[in-house]
Amino acid sequence: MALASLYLNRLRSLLSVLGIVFGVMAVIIIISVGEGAKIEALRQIERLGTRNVYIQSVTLTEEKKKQARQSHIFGLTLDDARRIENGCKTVVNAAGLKILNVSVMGTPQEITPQVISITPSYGKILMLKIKSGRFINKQDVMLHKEVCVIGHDVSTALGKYGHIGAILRVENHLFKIVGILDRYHKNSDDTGTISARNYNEMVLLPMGVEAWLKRKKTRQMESEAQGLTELILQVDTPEHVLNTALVIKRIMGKIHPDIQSYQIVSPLELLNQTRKTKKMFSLFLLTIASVSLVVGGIGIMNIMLATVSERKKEIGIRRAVGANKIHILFQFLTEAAILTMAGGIIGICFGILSIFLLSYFIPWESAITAKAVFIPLIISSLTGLCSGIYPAWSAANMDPIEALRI
Amino acid sequence: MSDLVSLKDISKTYPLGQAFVPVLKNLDFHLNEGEFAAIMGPSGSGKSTLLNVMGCLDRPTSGTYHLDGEDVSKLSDGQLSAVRSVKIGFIFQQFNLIQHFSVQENVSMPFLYSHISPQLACKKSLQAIEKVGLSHRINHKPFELSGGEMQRVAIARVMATSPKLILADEPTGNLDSKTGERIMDLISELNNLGTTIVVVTHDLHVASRAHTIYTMKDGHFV
Repeated sequence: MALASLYLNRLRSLLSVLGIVFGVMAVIIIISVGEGAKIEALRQIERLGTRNVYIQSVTLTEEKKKQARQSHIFGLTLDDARRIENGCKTVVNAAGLKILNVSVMGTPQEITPQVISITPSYGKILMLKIKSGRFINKQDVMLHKEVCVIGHDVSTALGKYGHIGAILRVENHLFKIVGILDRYHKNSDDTGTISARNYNEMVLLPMGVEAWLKRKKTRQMESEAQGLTELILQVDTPEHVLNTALVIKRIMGKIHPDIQSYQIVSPLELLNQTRKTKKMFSLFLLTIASVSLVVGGIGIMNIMLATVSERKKEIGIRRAVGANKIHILFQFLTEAAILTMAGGIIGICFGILSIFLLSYFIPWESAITAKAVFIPLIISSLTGLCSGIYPAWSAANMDPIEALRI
Repeated sequence: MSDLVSLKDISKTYPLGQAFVPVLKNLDFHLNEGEFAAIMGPSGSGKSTLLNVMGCLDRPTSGTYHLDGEDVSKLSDGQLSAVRSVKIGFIFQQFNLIQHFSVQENVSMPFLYSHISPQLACKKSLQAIEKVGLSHRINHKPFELSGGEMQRVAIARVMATSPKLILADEPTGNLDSKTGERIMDLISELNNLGTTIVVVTHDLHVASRAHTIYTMKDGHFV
C-alpha cells in the first residue's frame, strides 16, 4: 500500500531520496577507504612485530657526546639486552643489530647493499625467511666466523657469485655466503618513527666480526663502535608489551643514568596511536558526511509533508472507516522509512561501485566491511524515521471531519 | 426493539474566534434497530454535525450518546475509531473513494483496520461488489467510473463490513435523478436486510423513502 502510493509519485520519490543516496554513498566510501587505510597501517606495524620492543640509539649532539665519553657510556650494548632479559621476566628473546658503514664489493652500481651485524636471534624475532642455506647461528658469533647471509636482491645482483658457498668481499675481508633470504615484500611507503627494513638489499654478518672491518681505530671511533644501532626485545604476549616497555625504560634508566642516548619504541604503542588518529580522522569525515544525510532527511520530511497535505482526503476516508491515529501514523512512517531505506540501498550500491572505481586511484585497497554497509543503512533508516515522524504525526492528528470536508 | 441510537441532551458548540457558536442545542434523538430515518433541514441547521456525532467522528460538547447500548460520548479517539470500524458505515455525497486504489482495494480498505484475515476480507469485499453489480469493474480505478458506479462502490464498501448503522450524507446529491433512484433502491434494500439507516438530504423525494422524516432548524428538531 505504501509502495503503491510511492510508485504513484515515482519522480518525486526519486528526487526526494537523492539526498539520502548521496549521504549514504559518502558514508560508505569514507568508512571503506578509512578502513582500508587502517588495515594497511596495521599491516605495516604488525610487520615490525607487535610483541617486540625496540631500543634505538639516538644520534647525540657534540656536547652530549663529550658527556657520554666522560661517563664511559657507549650507547647500547648487548650487555643492556642481557640485563633486561634478566631483570624482566616477560622478555623472552633479545637481539642486537648494528648498522655498519662499510661497502660491499662486486655488486653492480644500481644496488648498494646495507651491511649490518646481528645476533643469531634476530632472524627468529623478526621472522625472516631463509630461501636457501641457513641463518647466522651462535657459533658464527662466538667463533667470529667470516660468514654472511644476503638478501634476495643482493643475491640476484651478484649473479653467479650470489649463491651459497660463494665468497663476498666486504671492505678488505672475505665472507662466505651461508644463506640467502627469501624475497621480502616491501611496503609502498613506510613513514613513521620506525619502519620495517628492506631486507632484500642487505648483507647480514655475525655480531663481532665488524671489529675487523675497521681499518683504523681511533679512540673516538672505538667508543662509537661499541654502541649498537638497535636492540630488539621480544615479549611473551602482546598484552604484556606496554607494561614491559615501562619496565625496560626503568632498567635502561638505571644502566644509562645520565644521558638519554636511546629511545624505546614499541610497535604496539604505535599501533594504538595510529588507531586513535585514524579513528579521529574518520569520525571527522563521518560528521561531514552525516551533514549530507541530515539534508537528505530534510528532503524526505519536505516531501512527506507535501504528501500528507495532498492526501488529506484519503486520511479522512481512512479515519471514517475505522483507522485510528496509530494506523495513520504508521502508514506515513512506513512510507518515509521505505523511501529512505530505498535511498540507503541505492546509496550503498553506488557507494560500492564508486569504491571499485576509486581503487584505481588510491594506493591502498579499500575494505568493504560489514560495518561499512550497515552503519549507513542504519543511519539512513534513522534519518528516515526522524524526518518521517513529524509529517506522520501531523497526519495522524488531523481532524477527520476537517479532512473529509475538502 | 431496543434503541440502537440514543442521543440525550446533546449539545455541540464550535469555537469561533473568542465566541462559541452552538450548532446542536440540547438535542434528543432515538432510533430503533432497523429503522430508516431521513433528516431534512436548511443549510447550517446542524444536520451534518449531528451525523458526525452519530458517526463517532465527533464528540458532543455535552450530553450522552449510547450506541448499541454502549456509552460512546466519553470514549477516546482510538476507541471511537474501533466503534466506527465495526458498527458504522458512511456514504458521502462526494463518494470519497481513494483515487489511486482499484474498486476492490477501495471496498476492502476498511478491513485493514479490523482484525479479519485477508482471505475473508477478500471474500467479503468481492461479495459486496457483486451485490452492487460491479463485478466486471473490480480492477478499475474510481476515475474510470461514472458517478453512479462510484457511489455503488462506496455502498459496497459499507456493505462489506456489515455495520449496524449506516449514515448517508446527501447520497444522491451529485447524481442525476435516475441514478439517484437506483442508489436509493440499494440503500432501501440494505434497510430491508435489517440495517439501521439515517439519510441527510435536501431532496424530499429521497426523504420519502424513509420510515420517518425529521426536520432540523437551528440545532434542534422541529
